[in-house]
Amino acid sequence: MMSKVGKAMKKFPAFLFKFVTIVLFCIFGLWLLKLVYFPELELKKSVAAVQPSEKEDLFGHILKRKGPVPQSHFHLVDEYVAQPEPYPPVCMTCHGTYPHSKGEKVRSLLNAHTGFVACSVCHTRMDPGDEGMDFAWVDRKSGMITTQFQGGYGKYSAKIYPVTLGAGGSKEIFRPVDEKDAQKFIDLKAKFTPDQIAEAKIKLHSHITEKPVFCNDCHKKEGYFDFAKLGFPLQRIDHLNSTEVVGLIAKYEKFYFPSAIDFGLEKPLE
Amino acid sequence: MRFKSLMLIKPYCLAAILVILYVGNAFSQSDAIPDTENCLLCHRYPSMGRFDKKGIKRIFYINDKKFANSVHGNLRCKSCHVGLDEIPHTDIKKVDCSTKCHVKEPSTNKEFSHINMIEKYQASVHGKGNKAKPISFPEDLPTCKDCHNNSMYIPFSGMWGKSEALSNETLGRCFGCHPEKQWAKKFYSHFTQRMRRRRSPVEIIVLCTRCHEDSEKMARHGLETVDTYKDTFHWAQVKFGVENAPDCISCHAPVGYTTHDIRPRTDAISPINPANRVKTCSNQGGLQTCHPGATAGFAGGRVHAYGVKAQMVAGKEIADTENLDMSLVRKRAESDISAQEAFYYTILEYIRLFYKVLIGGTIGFMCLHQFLAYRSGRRKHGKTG
Repeated sequence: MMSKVGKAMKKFPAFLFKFVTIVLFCIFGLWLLKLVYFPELELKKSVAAVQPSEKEDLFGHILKRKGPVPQSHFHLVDEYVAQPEPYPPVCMTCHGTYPHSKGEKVRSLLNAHTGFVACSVCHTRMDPGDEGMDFAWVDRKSGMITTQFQGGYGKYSAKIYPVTLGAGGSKEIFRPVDEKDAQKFIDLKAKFTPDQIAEAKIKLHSHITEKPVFCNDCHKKEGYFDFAKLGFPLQRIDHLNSTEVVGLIAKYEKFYFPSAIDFGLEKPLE
Repeated sequence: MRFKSLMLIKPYCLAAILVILYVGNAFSQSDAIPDTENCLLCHRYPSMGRFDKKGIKRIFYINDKKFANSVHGNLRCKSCHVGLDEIPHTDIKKVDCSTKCHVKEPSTNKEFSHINMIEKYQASVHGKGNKAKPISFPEDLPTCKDCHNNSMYIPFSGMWGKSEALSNETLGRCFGCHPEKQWAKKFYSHFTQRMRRRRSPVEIIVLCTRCHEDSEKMARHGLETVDTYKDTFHWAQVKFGVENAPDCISCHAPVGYTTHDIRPRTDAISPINPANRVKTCSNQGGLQTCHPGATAGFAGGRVHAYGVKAQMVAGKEIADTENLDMSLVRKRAESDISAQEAFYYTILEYIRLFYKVLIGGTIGFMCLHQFLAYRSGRRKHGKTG
């Protein structure tokens, strides 16, 4: 004689089959009903996907924006711009990829450096005599110090970081803002009062220099960086040490293109 | 004597070196933009950019190789960014596509500009009008960059082969008569680029519906949204990727028209004007075979489904319009939808209702029947087993 459990087990596959069939049938029926009786729901969905509504809150459309680069960028940027950086400097968590916005003359040029120079390089001014500090390339993908990197003109597979030199020539990335503390601050921020936030910010940035390294500190002979030590070829070092842009920034309030290179008339048609 | 011969040789050597330098330079620039102002000194850095006052992320990076192979690749930066004379670029103006950009238009040998297209565009339904007849809410209207990007030249593919192999073979023949290789390459790329449609039908629909599905924007201009298209066989075909499926351009800018010159149906030259519809539906002379045997009766039929305007004239309540000013739409509906069409719309609504009841009733009865059959089976099974 078969036990009750045995009988139930025998019936189970048939029950499961019936159950799944009925569920699928019901879902299909509901979908069909929605399609026939509520077509406007589908339309609303497509409209919402196309245009952010004015009624949305201030940040709604920012959250909806996908990807770092608009698809139709007219000047044809490449995948390097959209490439995610798995180990960005912690500063970028709050300050973003374009942190410089104040100095009209230099903000874009300074932002151009964020792709290959970590924030800590300029914002923690080193003592040139400190033999315990140096600079090294850190691989963008692994976040580890490396001597193997490729690229040129701002498109490198690694980024320059300040490093502390340990015993036996070991190197460790110098992080002026502790990553764990920064994350903790982000997590707790909502619980802080405005004054507590201000205090926390000052403490977090205690190792940040008030006078960051500027263009002409690096782009000169025997400057802040030893470009040769970082692996730059000689020709490039010459270029970096005598870059035209530094002179342009240092010498002029505004630089005017010479008209000699302005070919022909360029006026809109009337 | 020896010195004299050297003196004679020297100018020739110098000339030869200059020729080599020039030729070398010409070829080395095949993948480079003509950067005479040295803009790439800064703009080749990928992280170059900033957030502007509106909070928009502005990327100032230019991939010179990609740009060189784009339709604007032979232009200098200042050809479009006219009057940009200062660093930092605080004097930058919005690019005006009607600017003469110092490219000779080969058919007239005059300086090229997009002014022809812009003039047509301004006279079209999308134009901003003129002082005598200004358009309200001009900020709603699309500008050049809303529809156009700087598309890249890609190797042409055709019935004899595809991609670079075909280009190499064809260009080989061109070089026989046109020895200036860069010129021939550019000309070939431009020509083959224009031989194909840049966007698929779905992409066209997505592009147009970016504005035409925005009910607020449409209401401001007295229009109903393009949902009326999405209730047609035309859309169903596009949606399911049917070859030859008609998108917006197929009817609103068929053969002989340009997308820059889309006109309202009341305009005598519009392809959707009742007088021109037979030609539009049959698409004579076009690659797309639509309705070659179209008659006036066929072409006179409604293409888009009835929408908000028909509902208004038929006296139906319009849903989801509480926050919209529909007065302009209502005004246009009165002139666009005749009493006869409103009657047709009402009949169609009854047919729609009939089918809704029929389908709902059939499915409902089927469910009820299945349920009852299941219960009866269980009872029977319970009694016997």
